[in-house]
Amino acid sequence: MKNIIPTGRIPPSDYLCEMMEKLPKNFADRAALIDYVRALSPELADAPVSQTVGGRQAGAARLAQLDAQSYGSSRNYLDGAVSYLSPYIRHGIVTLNETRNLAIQQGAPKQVEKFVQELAWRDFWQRVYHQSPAKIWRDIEPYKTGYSADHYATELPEDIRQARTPSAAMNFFIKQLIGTGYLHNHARMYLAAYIVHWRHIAWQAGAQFFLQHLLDGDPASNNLSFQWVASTFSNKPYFFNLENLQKFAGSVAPCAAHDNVDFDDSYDALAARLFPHSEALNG
Amino acid sequence: MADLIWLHEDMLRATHPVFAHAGDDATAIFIWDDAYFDVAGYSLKRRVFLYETICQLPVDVYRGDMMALLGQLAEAAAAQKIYTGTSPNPALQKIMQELSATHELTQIDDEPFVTLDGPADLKRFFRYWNQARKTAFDVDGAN
Repeated sequence: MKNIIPTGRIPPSDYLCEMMEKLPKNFADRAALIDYVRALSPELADAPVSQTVGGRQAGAARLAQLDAQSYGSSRNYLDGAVSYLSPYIRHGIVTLNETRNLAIQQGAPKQVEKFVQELAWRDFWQRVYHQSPAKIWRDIEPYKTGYSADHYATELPEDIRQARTPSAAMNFFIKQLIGTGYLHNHARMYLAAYIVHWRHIAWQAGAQFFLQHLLDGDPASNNLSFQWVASTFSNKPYFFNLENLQKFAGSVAPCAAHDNVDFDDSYDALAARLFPHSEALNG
Repeated sequence: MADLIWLHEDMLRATHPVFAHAGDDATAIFIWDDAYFDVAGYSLKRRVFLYETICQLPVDVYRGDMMALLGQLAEAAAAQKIYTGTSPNPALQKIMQELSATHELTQIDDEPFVTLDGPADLKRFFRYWNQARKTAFDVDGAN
């Protein structure tokens, strides 16, 4: 592995206390680095590692592949032209500013609007977090599902943790989350909605599960998005049906009706089933 | 004597404005704090991603308790000033607050995405977007 250190800066010094445990930065290859991190975290030694490579070089390579126009037309599809920049943006490796600066070179504002707007969502979530850090784990507003907060279970069931739910598509997403540390935004919405609205689990339990595994897991974007799905930071709950799932995820995930029976209904019928006490959702 | 740059997990690039503010003779450090990662619930995937990232940065990497090591490293370097990046993370803010009691700590904002002409309206995204869009399509988010 190359170890790139920009010139013009005094190298990290030797005068700092030698008693402190200084960690190495040069490894023969990625496998050696992974082995080293496993040794630092023995309790996680058997856990999977993502193919997504960290660092500015990898982030810059992702940035170079950005297609902001195609993003606008295909972003909702799980095989759409998404940027995969989120882990790099999450840790400040790549900035929203430089990403936007590149995007606006790729088309007129209208042509790249959806992509720039997506960057703005990240900026929005961060501003909310800055303003009110305590809101990150609390319901910002009451649920608008017809249920009060204490209706929802606080623990994530084992079948969700182990990708053994009755839904093949949800199991696919869970396996992808655990195995790769990445989920397409639409898949996150499907899985979050499934956890909160089909399984009646408090959004906090789902958010914690996502944060554990997502490489881009960020308390602001992750938790506030969960609150948006749950309806504690939006005007109504987000939910979906099988037709929507098949349209946007069908090329990637197992979306056959017989493997996803919980979603196989009209929106009106699902609203009546999921939110039976909400007049607003069953008008 | 050299000033310290404390890079934390929200600012992992060599072009963060903190480097320009601190100057070329400052020493940059990252603290690999297992307990911090444990509290955050970070998987092995994330830890590998972070380690790969910091290997490419002009920092010394030390392992231990973030607060304790920052104090020790500042003392060992006889650092007059510590520079770091702002963060909304309450855990990092708490460390910054404690460091400020004993050291001259300067927090540097990352480059902005947009320039707003008033307080941000954060009630709903599209209220914010109506403000942000005025500069969101401009280079560096500035008219």
